[in-house]
Amino acid sequence: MGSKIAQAGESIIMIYRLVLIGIIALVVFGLFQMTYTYHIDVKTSEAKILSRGVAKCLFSGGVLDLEKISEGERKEILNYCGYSFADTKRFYVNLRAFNVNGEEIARFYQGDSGKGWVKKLFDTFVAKGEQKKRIPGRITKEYKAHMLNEGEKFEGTLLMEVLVNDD
Amino acid sequence: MNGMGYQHKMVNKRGTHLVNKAVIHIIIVGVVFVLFFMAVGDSINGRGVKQQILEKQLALLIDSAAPGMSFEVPKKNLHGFIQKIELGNGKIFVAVEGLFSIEGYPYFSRYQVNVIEEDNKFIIKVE
Repeated sequence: MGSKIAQAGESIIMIYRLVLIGIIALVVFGLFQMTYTYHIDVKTSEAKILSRGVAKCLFSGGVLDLEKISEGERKEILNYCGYSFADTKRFYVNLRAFNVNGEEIARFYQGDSGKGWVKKLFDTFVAKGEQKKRIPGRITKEYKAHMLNEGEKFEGTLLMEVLVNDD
Repeated sequence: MNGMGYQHKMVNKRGTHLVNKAVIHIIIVGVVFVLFFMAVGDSINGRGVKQQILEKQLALLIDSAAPGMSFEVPKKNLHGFIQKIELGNGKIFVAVEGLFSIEGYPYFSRYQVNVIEEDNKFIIKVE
């Protein structure tokens, strides 16, 4: 009886030792991971490429024809440009078209505008270490562009903002 | 005599039990440490970083490619030997030096993208 209790005690001590060894191994492994892993951030590059792609799509023929794009399509501008849904959930694209008087005449967008808020938050409180991976890539561009609206052609301004989130 | 034999048997049994326990202990600790060193080794030789570089480079190439473009990726690469390049669910997966990709990296393209494997290279075509 006593021997069985002693055996059970020994087994418990063995499990305890193994758990301890496992924890120590995990901690050391975690430290190695923190030291040796390297994150390469390409989100801003993706934002630049996407902004170019959207601009190319909208200015086919060198003119932005506002009448060609319906109200519904303006809310899903990435889908209008041929990007699939799987691609678009990481992105937020916002384009605002202004006429010569500086009045906003059209807006094209798609995605979660909250990404902009996240970016501002990270910019305000300087991100460190792991947090840096979560900072969305952002690009803003201003184009002087020929636009066609209600049969009238004029040179307006297009403001573009593209945000790319982490995968 | 009988009493001596019984005592011998008991001592032998206890000794065998102790040896078995020690062997099991050593094997389990050994397995934990082999797994640990394998994981650490993976981090140190940088296969993960090489894989990350390849996946992101290729994803950016696909993102910026126009239809009709194609690019070749040699299997014997600066970042190591590439076993496989796969596309799926809008992501690119690159297997480098035996390290297979689980997460992959997302690409975006308005066009059809295909990977063709040849003897010593992969060809990525954007159509």
